[in-house]
Amino acid sequence: MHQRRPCGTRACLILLLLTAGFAFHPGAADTATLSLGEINPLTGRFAAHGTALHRGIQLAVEEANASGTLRVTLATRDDEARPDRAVAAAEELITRLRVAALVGGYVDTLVGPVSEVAERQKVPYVATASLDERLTQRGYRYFFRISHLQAYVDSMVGILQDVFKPQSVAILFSATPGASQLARRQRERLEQARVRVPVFEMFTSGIADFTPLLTRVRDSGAEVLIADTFFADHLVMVRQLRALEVNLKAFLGAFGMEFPEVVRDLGPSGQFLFGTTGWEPGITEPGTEAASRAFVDGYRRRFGTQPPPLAMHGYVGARAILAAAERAASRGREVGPETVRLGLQGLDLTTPLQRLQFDSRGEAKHYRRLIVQIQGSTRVVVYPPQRATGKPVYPMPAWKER
Amino acid sequence: MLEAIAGGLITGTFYALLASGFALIFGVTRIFNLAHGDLVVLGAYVGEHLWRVAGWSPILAMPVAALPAMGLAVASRPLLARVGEPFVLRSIVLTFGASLLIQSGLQTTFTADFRLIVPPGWDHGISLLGVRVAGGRLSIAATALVILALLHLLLTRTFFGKSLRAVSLDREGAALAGINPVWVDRVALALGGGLAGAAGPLFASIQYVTPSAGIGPTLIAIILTIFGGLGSMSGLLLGGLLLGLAEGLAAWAGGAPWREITSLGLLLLLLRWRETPPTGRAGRLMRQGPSTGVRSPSLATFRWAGTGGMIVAVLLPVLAAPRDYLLYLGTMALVFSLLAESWSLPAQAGLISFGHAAFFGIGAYASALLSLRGHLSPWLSLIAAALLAALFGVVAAEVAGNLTGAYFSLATLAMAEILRVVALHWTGVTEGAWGLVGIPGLPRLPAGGLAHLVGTRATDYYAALLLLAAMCGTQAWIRRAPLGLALQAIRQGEARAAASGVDARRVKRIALAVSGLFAGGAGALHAHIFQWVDPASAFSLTLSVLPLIMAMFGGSRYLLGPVLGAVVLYLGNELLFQRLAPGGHLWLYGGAVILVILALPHGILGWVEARLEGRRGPV
Repeated sequence: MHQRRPCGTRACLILLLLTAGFAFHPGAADTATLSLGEINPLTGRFAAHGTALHRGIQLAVEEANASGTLRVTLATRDDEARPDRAVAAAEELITRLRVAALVGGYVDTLVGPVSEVAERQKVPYVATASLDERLTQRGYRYFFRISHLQAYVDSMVGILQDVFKPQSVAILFSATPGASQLARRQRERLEQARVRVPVFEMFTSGIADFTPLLTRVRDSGAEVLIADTFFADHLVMVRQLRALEVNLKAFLGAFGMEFPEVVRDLGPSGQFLFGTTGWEPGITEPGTEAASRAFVDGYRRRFGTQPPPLAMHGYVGARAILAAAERAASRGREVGPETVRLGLQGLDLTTPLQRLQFDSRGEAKHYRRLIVQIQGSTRVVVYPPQRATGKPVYPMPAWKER
Repeated sequence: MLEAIAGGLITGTFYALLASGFALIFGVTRIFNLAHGDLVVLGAYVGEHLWRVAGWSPILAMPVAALPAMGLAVASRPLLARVGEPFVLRSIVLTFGASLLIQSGLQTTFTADFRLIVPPGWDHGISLLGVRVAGGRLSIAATALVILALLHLLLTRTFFGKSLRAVSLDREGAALAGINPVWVDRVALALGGGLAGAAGPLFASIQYVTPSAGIGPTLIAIILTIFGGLGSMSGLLLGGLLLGLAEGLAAWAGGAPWREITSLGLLLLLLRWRETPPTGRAGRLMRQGPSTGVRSPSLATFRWAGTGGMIVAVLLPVLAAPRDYLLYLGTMALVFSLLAESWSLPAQAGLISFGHAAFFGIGAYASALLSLRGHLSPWLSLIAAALLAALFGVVAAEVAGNLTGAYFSLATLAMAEILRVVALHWTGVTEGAWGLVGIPGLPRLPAGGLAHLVGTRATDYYAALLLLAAMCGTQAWIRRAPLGLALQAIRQGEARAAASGVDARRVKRIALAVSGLFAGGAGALHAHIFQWVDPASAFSLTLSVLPLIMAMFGGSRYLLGPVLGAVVLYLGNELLFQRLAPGGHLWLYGGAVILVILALPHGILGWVEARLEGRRGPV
């Protein structure tokens, strides 16, 4: 039987709710909740990279939850390095779990399809490792990324033009969108500066025998070899350079030369190699030394290992969204996709990787790559001059003299 | 040039060692071991651990690294005994599941970090007759040569080796001669697994290792075994040397693009040259497509379930919530179903394709280019792309139609790989590794005010459903038509089919063209759904393996078996495995595949049919 609740009781209930509302609303930031979705390759061929990005994101979220300014729930999905899986994960996170933003992504073939879903569903997506120039030329409003191609081109061509001044340069690059675009831009810039590029070859990452390509490099008389590929290819390539005694004045690797394995596994062969870095323990944006140390310590405590540079990319990607959400919450606005997008657009955040501001296309305005050289057991920043901590050893000593 | 030749020969010798374990197991037991590369990687991790912790040289570590792989291979024997016919195809599915389990185990145990063995001094070059080679690589080639020579002696000079070869040649005959085939199986598994594991430390010395690095060695082993021959170490070595040399010389002379194109093109040419191979056992061994029978029990027995399924499928865009997510899953399940169903058509004639990604990729690229550059509407592009893929089916029939069994499979694999490399390097048209972006999506359904009811992905979904319905309709018609009987006749033997008046070439051409039409349609649809296409995903090896797995999983003898297999596996992974174990879904996926293939001899539909018929009682 249905009983009518007396009118007075209802009035009391409303009053109580209103009182509770005022009592627990001293500042919206205290209770604001952010639902964050992460998509990374945690299994498959990019599992090592995806795991590093994931840990950085996880650390940023745990720090935010510990600080109490924002309550963050993180839903992580594995894309298995497959675009169809990445899109399924994006659709699920957005339409089933209703996340306010997406973060993560390694290589453009996975980032690109996710960005299409994010744009259609109007949910901001901060890509943690993406270079393809076309992704920011589409006029998309919900796509942001913390790295960009031009930083690689500027630093790598910059040291060639300003410091090494070679007559001819060989470029070997792996078959990914980012690496092949980087190689194309480098060749354009070098040829404009009247530097010959006699070898310009794409290869499939992971091949065991670079001998034919390296003998072409040697026979071409190139002074410098640019290797636009991942760190594991560098390891194999450098060992074969040594065995074949291909003596170059410089070896300049684009990605992953800052991985600790390069020094550990290559030993003496790794000495004097050049590579790029955005951040690594000990090399940080000026003024962020304390924050960088705190990140390294926190990461070590949490995961028992030194953070690889990609972990910082994950950390900064998540921090950008968290900062945008905090901004919305502090203004008393609901933390949702649109407010997070607006927050990202107006973001100005200092991180150990970079001062983070996005331009109208979603590119990080201040992303820079530094050139480092392995000297002894450390990496010395040798370019650009204003960030240099040492002088480059150029040309590298011949293999026989080591 | 001499360095390129030396490098190619060294690589080729090592390739032969990588393939030897696979060849031995396939030859004796008929197990087509897709987990072969994972056993190599398992050995690689053991070798790397011994090197890092105790400083063991990779060569010293080989016997120890052989043990876990040997153990796994031998332990799998009781499971393999439960695998029914068609044995080779079912063993592919079983070892695919095992591969996922081993990869998951490796990632859990060793993490996903890159591992490499760098023994001191192995990087130093040695001058040999004026040619510089790495000392380490030379040691690897020498070790591989010694092992291959010992194997050759074992197989040709000992009673034990002769027993292996006897079982490999004629199982029943060997048993009659007093050889115990079960014992020989066990020894072949131990030896083959051990060889794979032993090659591991050498593998990790020339190439970095991750838990998923096994695909490369598996591919090399498949190519060399089918091409080089079974049980013949000299054939493997010759094949390995040819492959290594072709790769090295082509890359040196023409640059990187020619490395794969030359070696794969050479492989295709040689396959045609040896289309009537002297030993021909690899050809016979895989000529066992799924038997369909004349009646089609699926239509009679599953009429109600089928009708219900169709109603749900048609109404899904209205029923599903959250729409876009579930519709996307539904669409992808249909795309994979289409691929699996199209794969199963030539399979009825014993044409087991390992390169269905070729049709898929052609469809994807053609539709993307026609709509992007030719400014055709997505619908017209899709139709034109599917027709182009059908035309490629005719070309494939001309190139590989004369080949039988495993030789045909290998030729299709080579064609798909060649197309991938062409897409990668033909930058003027395909934009190479960059891929094509901004491909127009299919226009939204004109739902007017009801648009919110069907979501943004309804067009993709209905397009996939329509294509799948057309594919299934065509299949059903073919099965009842004389063409279906002709396909069955070819599977049982071309000579016999010819005697019955079947024009095998024509029938194969039709089967591959129809299969290409729908697989190409699936690829075109995929391109418009993702609005992005790149060589690695359009011509992915996974797209070539999955149709077989899905068809066997659902029940390859049934019309709707491949569809059910694709739907259950795809949706099972997305809706169940990924959610139950976000970090360990591959355990569940691999486990499910193994369980079904062991417990259900005719796939899911076979099990359902048996239950229904059991309830009805004997007729």
